[in-house]
Amino acid sequence: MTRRYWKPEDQAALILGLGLVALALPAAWGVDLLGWGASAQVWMDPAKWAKPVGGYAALAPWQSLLFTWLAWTFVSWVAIRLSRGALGLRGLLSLWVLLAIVLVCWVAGHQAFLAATAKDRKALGLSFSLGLTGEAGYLVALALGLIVGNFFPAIAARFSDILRADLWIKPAIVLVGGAVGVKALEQQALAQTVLVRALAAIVEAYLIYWALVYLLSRVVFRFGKEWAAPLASGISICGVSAAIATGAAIRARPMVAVVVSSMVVVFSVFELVLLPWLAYTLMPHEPMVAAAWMGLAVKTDGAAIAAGAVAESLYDPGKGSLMVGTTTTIKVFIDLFIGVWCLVLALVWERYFPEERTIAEGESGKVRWLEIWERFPKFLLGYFFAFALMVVLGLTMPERMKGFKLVADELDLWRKLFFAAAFFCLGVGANFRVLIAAGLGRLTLVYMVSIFGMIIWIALGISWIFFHGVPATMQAGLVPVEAKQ
Amino acid sequence: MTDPSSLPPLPTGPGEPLARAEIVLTGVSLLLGIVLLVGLALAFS
Repeated sequence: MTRRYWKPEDQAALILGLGLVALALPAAWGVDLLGWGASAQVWMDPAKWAKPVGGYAALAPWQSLLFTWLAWTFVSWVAIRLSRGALGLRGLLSLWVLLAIVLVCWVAGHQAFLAATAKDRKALGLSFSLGLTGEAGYLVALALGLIVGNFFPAIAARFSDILRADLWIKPAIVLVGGAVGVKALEQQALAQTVLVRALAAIVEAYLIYWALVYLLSRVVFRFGKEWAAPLASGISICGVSAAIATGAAIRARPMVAVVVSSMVVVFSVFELVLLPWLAYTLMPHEPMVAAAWMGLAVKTDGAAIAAGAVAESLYDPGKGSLMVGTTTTIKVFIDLFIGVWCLVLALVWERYFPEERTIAEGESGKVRWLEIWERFPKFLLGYFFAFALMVVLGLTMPERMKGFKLVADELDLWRKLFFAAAFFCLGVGANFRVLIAAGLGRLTLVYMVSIFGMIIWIALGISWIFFHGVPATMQAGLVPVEAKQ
Repeated sequence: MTDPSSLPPLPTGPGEPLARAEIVLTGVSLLLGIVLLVGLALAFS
């Protein structure tokens, strides 16, 4: 039998992910090919639900959404053709409807009552909001998917040939690589003292968090490996992207990552509300410890940066504040490690734990290095390639940094849409009653114990070690690195 | 092929014991984390 070292799904993910990177890149040189993409905004006024991500300001939100919808249908059709072969007219129409539903969910998730954080409320004229950030769009997509799948099975059956979460997850991870590369470069402008301390803080935080949460899940709560690894990454690293990437790297069923990600988004609200206030109460004279703490402890990028902003408003360090920059830097640097850690996990899992896959696919035999390469989730290579490409370009052409930031924004837009589609697909296929009956309570418990019993306190300790006494403003004595542009 | 929308079993019994690779992975990760924490904390103090 001929071996297939490149699986069609991996090929499709690489072509789709890197293809989008290639299409986004010319924006750095002023040729904005993807700038019409609809970037969902936190909205109260339905007329302001989205705006073009790039330089197409003349487009109305509905026009931007329409272009996004049509283009998304096209790239999805390409991906399905590459990974599975022909898609008939009925399939194409189903795809079109499916993506429209996901776009509506994504935009609905940005409604201000769901998404607005404390710092946005005043501008939006709100006295209350759930503060879920725009990532509430994932939960809306998941909830609608569950409703369709559980109450309208006939409709779900019509979409069955295109409801494939892996179709979206893998290219999305490639896009994460490109966007994170640019975001990491952007942080160069932060004071060097802060940058070095941030790097130092996250390395050991990462290593300690992951191992502790994994052991807690496996030994105390008795979860299997397929649950424990995405739980450890989702809880200890950066939530949605980490849980999804880890799940894909160890070949866990995608629903595991979706369940973990949903919990991450919900719990980040509590952290966002609680931690800035707790930081200010416990250490009113250590703003930089508080800023680092938000980055190390609050999951999801949006919630962490919002928490940094809330903490900054509480401490009010004055002009030239480094607080939000510090929180952002720590969060971005943590994101950098997703790819590295997933690579380690993929190698360990393929080498030592092939049995789940072997059972699932009816294969047997020893696992040799060649087989490990055969089984290795190669879309991760796309993550590293996109990351390295953006870093090299950013370092060699610092004068183009503004353009690269636009590239990152465009990649982020598609990454989020792909994730939302994966959430919807998995919701349709999931029977949540089984999960609730079997052990959602235990999952919630492991999350709460990990976050509130371990991670926030370890994060506080590490933040204190590296950031106590560090001035919170540029004017206070820090020497900023010369900005690259 | 495993249904991607299905869920792996949630814990009901004593659970499977830790494999050697898991012990090594988490052990190395923890050890490295603690050594780096102490080393870098001393370097920054």
